[in-house]
Amino acid sequence: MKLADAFILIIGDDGILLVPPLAKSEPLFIAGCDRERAESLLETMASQPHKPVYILADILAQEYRQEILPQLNWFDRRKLLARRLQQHFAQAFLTTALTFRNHNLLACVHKGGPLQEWVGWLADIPNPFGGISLLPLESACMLARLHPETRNGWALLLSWQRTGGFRQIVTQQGELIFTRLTPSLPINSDPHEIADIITRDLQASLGYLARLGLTDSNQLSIVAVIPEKTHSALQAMSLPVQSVTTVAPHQAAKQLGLAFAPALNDPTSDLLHAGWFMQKKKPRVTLMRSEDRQAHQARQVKYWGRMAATACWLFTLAYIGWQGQDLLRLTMVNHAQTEKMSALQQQLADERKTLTPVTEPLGRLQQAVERKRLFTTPTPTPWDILDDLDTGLGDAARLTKLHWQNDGTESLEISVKLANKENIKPEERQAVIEQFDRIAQHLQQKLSGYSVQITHYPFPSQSEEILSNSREKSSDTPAIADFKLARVIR
Amino acid sequence: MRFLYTHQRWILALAAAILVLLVSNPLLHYLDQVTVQKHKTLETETARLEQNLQQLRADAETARRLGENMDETEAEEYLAVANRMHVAAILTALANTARFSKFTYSLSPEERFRPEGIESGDVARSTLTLQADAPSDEDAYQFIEQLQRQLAGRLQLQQLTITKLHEEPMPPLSAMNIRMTAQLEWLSNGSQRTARR
Repeated sequence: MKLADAFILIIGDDGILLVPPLAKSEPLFIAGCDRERAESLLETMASQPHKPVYILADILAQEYRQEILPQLNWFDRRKLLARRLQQHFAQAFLTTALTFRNHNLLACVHKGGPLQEWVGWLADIPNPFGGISLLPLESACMLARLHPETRNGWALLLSWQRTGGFRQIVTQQGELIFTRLTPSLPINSDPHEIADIITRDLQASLGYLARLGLTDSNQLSIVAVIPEKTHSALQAMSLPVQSVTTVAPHQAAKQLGLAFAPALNDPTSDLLHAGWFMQKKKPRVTLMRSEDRQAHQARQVKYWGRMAATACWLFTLAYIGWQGQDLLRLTMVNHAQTEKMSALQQQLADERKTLTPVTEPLGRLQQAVERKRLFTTPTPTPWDILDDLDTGLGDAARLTKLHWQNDGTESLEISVKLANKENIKPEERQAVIEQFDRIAQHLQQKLSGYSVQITHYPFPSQSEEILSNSREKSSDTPAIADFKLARVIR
Repeated sequence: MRFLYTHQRWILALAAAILVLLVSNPLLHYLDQVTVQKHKTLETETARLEQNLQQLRADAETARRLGENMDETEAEEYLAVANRMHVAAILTALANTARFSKFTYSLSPEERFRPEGIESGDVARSTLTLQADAPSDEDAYQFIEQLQRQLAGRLQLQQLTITKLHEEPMPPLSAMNIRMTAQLEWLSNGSQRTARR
């Protein structure tokens, strides 16, 4: 809940001012505290039931107290502060505590008065109640913005509210240390009279501040947000302070860069404080009744719960979108692929229809071509070597046997008989061997690509054969030798 | 319970979002797998169709080219089935022409096999064994060459033995001078068998 989007109800002892969200319409002021007159404000707020209502209290019945506590952890300090609040403000309507760097500030608003009445009346309208904030606490930091030199040391902000009167806010090192409300004057009072009253009130405050540690009043800087016509009169008063800076409410609002400002002729600073309060992200303190706090907490839980649910939904949708992106892309690709496939199927069907008469005999043709290749492949035959053998032997010898085999080497085994000799006498053996050797040499020359080897002579003559004379006288040996012709593989 | 009742709307919305988030992950994973699988199937099917189309066009081109190189009559000759009875008749006729005596032959049963480089159908292989007495070795050679020409398919000589039967001097022309034994491998399309019931 942003303060800028909320109704701000400035409640003082002299009247109530309702500042609409962003001050889009005129603020409504009612004097005093009367339910009948309050109805118009309540109706205005109820007309926008979702807008929360914050109270900025500028009443007299508020009290502050400084407390210095020993070094404690957060839980113990909370407990001790609660005990101190109960101890000092036992009869208070609402209490709160603020922790500063060097001290703690206890604050309370007392029972009775317009604040308690209005808290009760606000329960009758549907608008969420944002709580009660204390004007001195919320506006204390305005001093440093209006007059940066007051950030260090003692400073006093004086402003005139139509709802409450003259509010003095004193800060030390930028933090609230004292506040005081003095009665208001009629709006059209004489400037000198106003200056006199202000001077008197300020001098009285110096006495209080001396008790709080301001030993030398010349350390105090005063910033007075008062009507322009009063400036010269106040400047003329010789106050024993370091400086007195005067600024008109309208000018102060402009200087602070607020979203809206009091009118030029408006002597009061109610709207200045409201504008300052509304520009904050959240109030500095929020006082609430326990039932209001429960309702507020429930609203907060609901708000953050909705935010969490929304964030979770956004994350879920983003995740699904992120993950689904690839899925969607692939689905679209599949769709395109399906269309392409359908087109291909159609094309294939069309071409099949057209080309079937052409391709139908393909199987038979291919088979016929394969068979032709197989059946017409040349195979080894002995015809060539037989022709060469016939030439090679000539008239010197004749074949009595041949054996050809397609065993990879296409070997040929032949038996050759000498043409001019039937039987061999023992004394002719050497000559016969020489004759067969000559035939072998001749064949070797004629049969290129073949090796010619005599495997057996007509009689034992090889190194592995047995040489004997036992059969020499009994018979003669036919002049037949065995040859082996083998293809030389290169 | 009061807390739940007060905040039921956003709690339900949050729970629904978490539920959707938890369910969406496996669901998306499953859908992704299904889609990827479908994509692969489509790609495979498309590739197959493209291949079929290319094959069809290539077949058409091949058929045209083969048709130019081989006519139907020649194709019929190479694809003709073998007739073993016809082989026997050829053998007898050629043996008579060659004036063989004691002519014997045997043709072994067909053995089906697929030679290297042949893709369409099996080929039949039989072994033909011959033995005969002939007037001269020239008659034997001519017999084998004639047989190779007349038999459909391929007749490959595996073994040939010629033995001279008589010693010198040469006998009369009508005499059987040599004995031939031969073994040949016959490759053919095989005999067509018809089963009848």
